[in-house]
This record gives sequence, structure tokens and C-alpha cells, in this order.
Amino acid sequence: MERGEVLLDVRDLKTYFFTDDGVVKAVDGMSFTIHKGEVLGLVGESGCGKSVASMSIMQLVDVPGKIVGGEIIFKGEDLVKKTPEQMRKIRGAEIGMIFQEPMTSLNPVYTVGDQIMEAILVHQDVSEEEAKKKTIELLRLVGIPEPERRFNQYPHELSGGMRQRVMIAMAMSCNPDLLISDEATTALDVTIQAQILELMKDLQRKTGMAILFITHDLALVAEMANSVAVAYTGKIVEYGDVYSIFKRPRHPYTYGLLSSVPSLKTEKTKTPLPAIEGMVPNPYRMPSGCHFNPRCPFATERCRKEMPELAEIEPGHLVRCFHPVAVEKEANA
Amino acid sequence: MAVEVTKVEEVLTGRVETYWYLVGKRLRKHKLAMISLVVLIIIILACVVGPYLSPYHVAELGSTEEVMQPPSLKHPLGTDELGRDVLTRLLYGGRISLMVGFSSVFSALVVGIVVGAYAGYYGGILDTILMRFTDIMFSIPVLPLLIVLASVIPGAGVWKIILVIAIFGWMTDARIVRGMFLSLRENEYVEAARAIGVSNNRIIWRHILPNSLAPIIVSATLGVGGNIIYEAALSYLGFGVMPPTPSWGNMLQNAQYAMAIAPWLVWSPGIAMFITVLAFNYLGDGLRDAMDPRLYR
Repeated sequence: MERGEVLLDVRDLKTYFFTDDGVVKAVDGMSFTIHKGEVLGLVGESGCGKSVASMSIMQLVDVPGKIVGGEIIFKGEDLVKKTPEQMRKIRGAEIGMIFQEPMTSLNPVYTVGDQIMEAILVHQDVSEEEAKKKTIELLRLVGIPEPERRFNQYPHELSGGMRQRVMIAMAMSCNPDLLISDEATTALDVTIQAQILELMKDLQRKTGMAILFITHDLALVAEMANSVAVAYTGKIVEYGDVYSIFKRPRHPYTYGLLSSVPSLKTEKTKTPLPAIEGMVPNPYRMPSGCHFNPRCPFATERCRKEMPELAEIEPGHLVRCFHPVAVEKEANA
Repeated sequence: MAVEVTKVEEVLTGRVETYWYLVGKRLRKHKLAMISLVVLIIIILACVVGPYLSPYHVAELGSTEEVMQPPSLKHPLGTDELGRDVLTRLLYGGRISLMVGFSSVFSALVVGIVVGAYAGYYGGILDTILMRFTDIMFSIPVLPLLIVLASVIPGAGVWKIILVIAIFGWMTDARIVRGMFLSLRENEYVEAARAIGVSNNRIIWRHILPNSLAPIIVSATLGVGGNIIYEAALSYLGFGVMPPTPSWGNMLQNAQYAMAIAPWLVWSPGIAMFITVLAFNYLGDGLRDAMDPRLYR
């Protein structure tokens, strides 16, 4: 696939949380790149640092959290070095974001129209009249019927799917170059989820924006993304284009994740669904060496002592493992 | 279930059920609060309009035969030691007392909201400084300081009393508002507002404050009653509203010397104050019940 120029380049990002019980390295040396018009899926279990990574990009990490290292190069400029005021002008205008909980992401005391209008008025020098017109267009764009009527409705009068559409309209209001979707469909039921994904894909095709698609659901990544980054304990463990990751997962963790997705075959044979043994390690006491070693079936002495580097195993496919899995995964999607 | 029921009602009546609409609906079911509201409206109207309708002037002295007369047709609530009509003075004094009550609550609220909002929203060092200052203000013994303040601040106007009450009355509001902000700032809609580039000030005043109005309104309603009592206490100690301007407080103080021979001088301001404060308290309770977020849907 022809790749555009680099839009977002996250380099060795480190976001730590300084709590009374110790330092939690929520994001510990994460690097990934998003090209213009590309959809990058960032996958991982709860607590792997994927949401903290997205908040770091937005510069919305609150105390006790702090970005302690790395660079976030967006359109050639380092966001970490921006002042709060410069960052405020980027948020919403150049980077849009949608959240997991559509039920609570809208302010209950304002109509949805008012809230989308606010996003426009904050960044654009337009009259209220124009902003209202644009808001109604946006509502129509995200597939909300009767936008003129919906404009004056309060969030509690809309369903979850409708609210998520409103959130998308808000995020799209200033034509951002990058849309961050942080588990945006997780709280919705499956049919609505499919509609929202379709809407996001459609908007992405129309506007050519890039999407950072954060999820724990591999099936969604396969459907949405061009590239995939798999995160584990604050680090990227595998990175590559969607085909090579799903066809030839090389990191034992990715392999385990893919095997634990139920397929039609596993149901027929009545074999129990394979699961990854063990638990996500305690963030205060990370295992030495590779963080995955206590759960890894292939772990050796070396894995317990040394942290492997993220290395290119084939063109465009990076893995952080001393013993990459060599088996080709049967296509089950 | 509740959601569906209201949805059905919405469809049937075509009326949008906003939060405030539901609050109004629930308040109307609260009998004591509604009676109180009616009583308060009557009292406020009487105090505002009454003095204009009265044939007597507040400071109009009666002839010597009219001094300390018990209630009669001519003077429904009697006259005081200078022969002034008590009803007229009661209504006029009500104006002053209510004005002191409302204005001091409003001023205290402004200070309390600003302090509480910034402390709760920003947290950290700012929160520590502002809240320790609040604690210090709370631990100051008010009465001795009032005596000092009353002599330091020049003039004897009603505004001085309002100012003094406000200076010592904003701390509770500040704590309430801070508490609301502490919990509301964690809401996703605040995060979402930040993610679209809304400034901190705009988030504080436009996004969080309207969501924390309910406890503020309740506290203010109860506060009006409390401050009327406070004004009376100050007047009783001689630091309140200065005669000849009447207030319910200084009418009471004035009456204590003649209690044995002219009890009506005590009854009228006493009962007026009692009913008003009680009504504010019931209304506040009713509002608290009506605005309880746990009852919302």
C-alpha cells in the first residue's frame, strides 16, 4: 500500500505515574508512527498503557502522571514541548478524540447542538449563525436523522449510538488530521458498534484523516486498521501491517491473543478456548527481563534477564522477542 | 423502566423533560415546601409593597397619646415607645432583613463559588492554599472580630452588615463547591471538553458550574434564613442595622426594654422572623429533595 508522509511519530514515549506506592511506568518507551490517511490499531489488554498513550498525545495526562521522556512529533513539531495554550489550539482542531463512554461524555445540561457548536466556536472565527448551520451539517454527516430537531435535544434524550455519533460530529467539527478513537465502540452493542465503525471508515475515506484506533478487540482491528501495534505493559511488543500481524504473528503474546479469539472451528471441535496463562503483571513489580516471560511458554533464562529490543524480523514487521514464533497462523478471519 | 415511562410521557405530551422541569415537578409534590414558597412570596410582596400603602411613615412619630398603644383598628399591631406604627415598621424592617439575608447570601456565594471552583478544579497547591485559608476563616471566633470590624469599617449602613456577614459566611459554600468540582471534574464530559480544546476557565464556568448548581441553590436558600437570624443577633448586640432604620433584629432588641408593659412589640418581629426563617428552611429541604441526583431518573 502506498503510504503518505508521516503525520504522527511517537518516539520512545515514557509516561510515568508517581503514586505514593511507587512509580507506575504506564507507558515505557512506546514508539509508533501514523502516516497521513492511515489507520493504526493500537491493541492490548487493560492496563497496557494504550489509553495513557492517547492522553499523552493530547497532552491531557493529569497529576500524578507525567511525560518523562520521548517525543511526540505531530506534523513536524514536538507536542511535548508545546505550551498549554498552543496545545489547546491543536486539540479539537487538528487532533480530534472520541471516548469510550458515550453515555457520560456529553454534558447533561446543554443540548447536543450547543456542544458541537462550542467545538466549532472555540477554534473557528465564525458567527453563531454559521456555526449552527455547520453543526446541523455535521449531524447529518454522521447519520443522525432530523438534525434540526436533534440539535435542540439534550444528551439524555438520545440513545448510546446516537450520542457516539454526536461525539464523532464534535471530533470532526474542525476537520482534524488525526482522530483518536479510544475504545469508542466498546460500550455499544454489536449492531450499533458495526454502524459506528462503518461511519468512521466512511468519514476516513471521505476526509483522508488518519485514525489512531485504540481497542482491546482484535476483530475490530482487523476490520479497521492498516497497521497494528500490539502493546504490553507500556511497550510495543509487535508492530506491522495488518496482514502480516494476523497471518504471521511472531510475538508469543500476539499469538496467544489471536488464538484466544473464538472461531467457528474451535466451536466445532469442542476444545476449550486457549487462553494466555497468568495475569498482567503488577505495575509496581514488573518482572525482570522481558515483561511477558512469566506468561510465555517459550521463555528461557535469557528472557528472564534481558529485555529484548523491538527488532525488524521481516520488512515492516517488528517484534520484541528473543524467540519469535515461527508458525504460520491459519487464517480464521 | 423509569426512562421508558418518561419517554412515553414525552411522546404523549411532546414536552422535553429537562432536569429542571423534573425538579419543578417534584417540588410541586412537596407540600410543606410549596406552602413555604407561597408564604415567602406573600411576605416578600408585603414587605416590598406594604410600606407604600401604609398611611404612616416609618419614622413618623405619633402624638403622646399614641405612645405604646396595644393593637387597635388604627394601629393593627400597636405602636412603639415613640408612637410609631409597628405594622409599618415591621414591613419596612422586613425589607431590610430580607435584603440583608439575600444580599449577604449572594455576596458570600460569589466568594465561595470562586474559591471553591478554583480549589476543586485545579487541586494541588492552589487547593491546599485556598482550603487552609478557608479553615483559618472557619476557626476565627466571629463575634469578637465583628466588634472590631464594626468599629473599623466606617459608616453605619446596611451594606456594612451585609459585608460583614458575607466575609464570615462564604466558607461553607466554598467547601460545597469544591466538593462538587472535585467529583465533577473527573467526568468524561470534562475530559471531552478538554479534548476539543475548551479553555480551563470556560470548563469551570460553563461546563462544571451548571452541573453543581443543585447543592448551591439548596445552601443559598437555607442561608437566607440563617443570615436573617444572624442579622438579628448582630442587631441585638448593637452591631447590626442602626436605628432609626428598622430591621426585625433591632425591633426585637428595642422591644426588650418594654417587654413587660408592651409585649406586642416583641411578638410582631419575633413571629415574622420565625415564620420567614422556618419557610426558608422548609423550602430549602424541599429543594434538596427535589434536586437529589439519586432521584433523577
